[in-house]
Amino acid sequence: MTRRSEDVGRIETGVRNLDEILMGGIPKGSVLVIAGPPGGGKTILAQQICFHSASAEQRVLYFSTLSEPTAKTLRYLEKFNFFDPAKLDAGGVQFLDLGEMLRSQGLETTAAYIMERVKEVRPAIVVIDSFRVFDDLAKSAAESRAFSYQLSVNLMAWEVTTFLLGEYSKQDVTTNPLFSIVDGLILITQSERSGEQQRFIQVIKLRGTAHSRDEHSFVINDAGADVFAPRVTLQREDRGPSTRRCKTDVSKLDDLLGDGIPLGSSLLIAGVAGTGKTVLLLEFLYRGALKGEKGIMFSFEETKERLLASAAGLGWDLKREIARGMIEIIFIAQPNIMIEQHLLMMREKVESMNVARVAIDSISVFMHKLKDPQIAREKVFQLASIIQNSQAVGFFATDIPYGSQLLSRFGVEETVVDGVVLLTSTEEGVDRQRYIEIYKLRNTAHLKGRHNMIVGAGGITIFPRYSVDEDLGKPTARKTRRVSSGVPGLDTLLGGGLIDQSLTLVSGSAGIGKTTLALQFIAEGARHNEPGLYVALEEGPTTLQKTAEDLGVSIRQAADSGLVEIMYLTGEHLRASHFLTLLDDKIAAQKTRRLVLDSVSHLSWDGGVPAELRQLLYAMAVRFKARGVTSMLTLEAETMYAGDTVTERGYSPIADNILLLRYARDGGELASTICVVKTRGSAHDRGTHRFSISKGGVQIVEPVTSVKLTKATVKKPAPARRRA
Amino acid sequence: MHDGHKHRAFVAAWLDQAATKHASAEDVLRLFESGFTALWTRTEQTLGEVTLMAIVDRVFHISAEQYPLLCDLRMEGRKLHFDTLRARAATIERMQLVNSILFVMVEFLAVLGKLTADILTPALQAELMKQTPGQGGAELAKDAKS
Repeated sequence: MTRRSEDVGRIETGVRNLDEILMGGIPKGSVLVIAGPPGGGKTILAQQICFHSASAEQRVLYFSTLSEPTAKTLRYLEKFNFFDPAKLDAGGVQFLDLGEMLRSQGLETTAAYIMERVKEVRPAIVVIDSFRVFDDLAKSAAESRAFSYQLSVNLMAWEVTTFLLGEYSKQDVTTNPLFSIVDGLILITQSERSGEQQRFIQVIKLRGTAHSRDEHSFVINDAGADVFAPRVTLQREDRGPSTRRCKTDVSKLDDLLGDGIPLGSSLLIAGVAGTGKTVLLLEFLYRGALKGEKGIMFSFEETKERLLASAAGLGWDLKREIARGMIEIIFIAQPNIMIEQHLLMMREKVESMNVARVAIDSISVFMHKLKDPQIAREKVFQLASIIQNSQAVGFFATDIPYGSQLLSRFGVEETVVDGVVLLTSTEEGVDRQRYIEIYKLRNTAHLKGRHNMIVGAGGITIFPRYSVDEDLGKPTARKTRRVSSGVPGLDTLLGGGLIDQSLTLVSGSAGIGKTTLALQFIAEGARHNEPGLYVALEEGPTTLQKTAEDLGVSIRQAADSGLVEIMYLTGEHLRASHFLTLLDDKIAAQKTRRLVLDSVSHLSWDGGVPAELRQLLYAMAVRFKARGVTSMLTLEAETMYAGDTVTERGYSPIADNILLLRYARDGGELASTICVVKTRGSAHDRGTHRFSISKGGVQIVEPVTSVKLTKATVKKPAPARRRA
Repeated sequence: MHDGHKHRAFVAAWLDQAATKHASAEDVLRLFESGFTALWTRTEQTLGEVTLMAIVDRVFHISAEQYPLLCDLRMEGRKLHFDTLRARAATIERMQLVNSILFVMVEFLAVLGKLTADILTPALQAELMKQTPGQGGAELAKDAKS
């Protein structure tokens, strides 16, 4: 059977996508009816097929009956691209008018005339336009049937592919015997769909083929009938998950995306208005272009000019990338959107440009005329298929209604795509903060949770809350090397100094000397040529350097040489996620060996929750160790005097070492005391010691033996002793 | 329009088997009549008279174009008529007679084969091979081959 099927030749229609609907064209020798209402496009469709196929060797006889005068037919033909005057008459297509013969001599004579012409010309294709007139002129249904049958058989015997055009409706299909005689029926209809009048073509039957049975929309344009059949033509190719990945190069988005986005993936960029979707899409294309990956943006909201202006405002030379062919922006105004037509246009563009990145802004506008979520789902699937088949990466923006819990406009799009990137914004204090979240990404271990994002000069900056760097989480070998704290007497209490790469929490009452101690720690490192980073959240560099100089703890020279850097972070940088990213970048750049954060208390930003701060401190501790940094974090105690809590905020488990700096009453004066509460992996002195601050900074004076503690639960001061 | 080579070889073989070099023109015409009628009868069972008439109309039209002797070929009442050929059979060259008959038979089989995707071809060939008037026809076949 297969061999025989192959033997039946096909005629290419020359109508875009129609051969795909027919699964290979029209079988030669078939008799087909093209049925539809007046003005539906039957004649244009038939003429398009004729001119596509016609040649001096493959001739066409086009019979007009009593519908449209041949003169008019010819006049209107001229405007179509498929029309070729060289193909008229001897060139292939002969137009013959049967009107007068039908009127004066009836059916039989006309049918005989048709066959005479067929025998004479030996055409490959015959068109009778319209065939309905034979029905009308027949004296009875029986005569009509017999006539149709005879003519069909005669044409079949000559292996002529025949198109009988007629103003038949869908109801006629079940009642008119013509439709059981012919081999094929192509039905053309017009109806309102998704808010607009559309033409549809449907192959009801075509013997010997496994044709599509769906309705497919089409338009009449300069090309003739232009059929859109994404359901047939946008088939997803059978590919396994790609092993190749896309790195976006957008800020730290790649940190969130794990190994990267598998090629062929489509990601929904979801968010309410104003969350940065368009900027993200633009930057995705721009960063790609900078590293040689072509991109295309289909914009249904912003014009190309407005997008270029936005890009320029962010400091991107998008015009240059467009000029050198790396990026193309196609704007289609909302009222002009035709979903199926533009789906195919997008496919052609993506394939012809061989792009690596595709941005659609937005699919919610692109599909705004759709009412049925299932249709929306199908369209998104077809879009995703374009991306997968071309092995590009697609970013599809979608608007989420305000106050909705949905991830997309229709609530189904996220089930089709490979990933969802959720963009949100929330009011925090007097600010509105933007967040980005990788909600879903197939086949990729991505970073969970929301991460702060800002849009400013240069584009998007993302501040991951913590790293996906696997190496950071791995336990490191226990360090034994000691580094000096720079505080006379303190190293002894610590059992010989601070263990290299440890994290020390200095908890102290207000004004007791935490900053001084921290400056000494940095200065000591500088003396040993260790790059130091002093992160100041409270005082600026000038004040700090002045303080240090007043105390005789000079860091100016080291600061001038770049060995020590004071990084003063104002309130706007005090978000947990920003903070971690800024520190990480600085440590990497400076190759920091010693770091002070002064103080953790200032990280308690508006809206920040203790749990989030603890998570940040934990992430910092892990990161500092992984980067080989010995760190010291100051923390302002809420009480002046020693109590039964260490940090009052539950931060103790994060620190390797904890120094408690508290006031104590000594007669009528306040005495400054220090106690090493904890040193992980080391013996230490657990006694409380008085310390003084004078030229040179903090120095340990003597163990406390008779100090009254105003809030102490300690009944008796413990004698200084060493713990094994 | 069609590939008639395989059918030509078959019909030539049939003529080779069914006719002799001493067969008269009348014998050849009888063989033609019986062969064509056999094909018609077998085909009519499957395709019906209307379709078969349309096909035969095409075959006769094309044959007459090629061989004017066949200008009045027609089927009436399931009987093949070829008055002009019959009238001139005794006077025309034997090769022309044989070739004209061969052409009609080949065209008929070829068009039927094309329209039915050769589904009927084996049955038609078997039917044709049964048509053997008896007199040896090797010479006739040679004429046809030449």
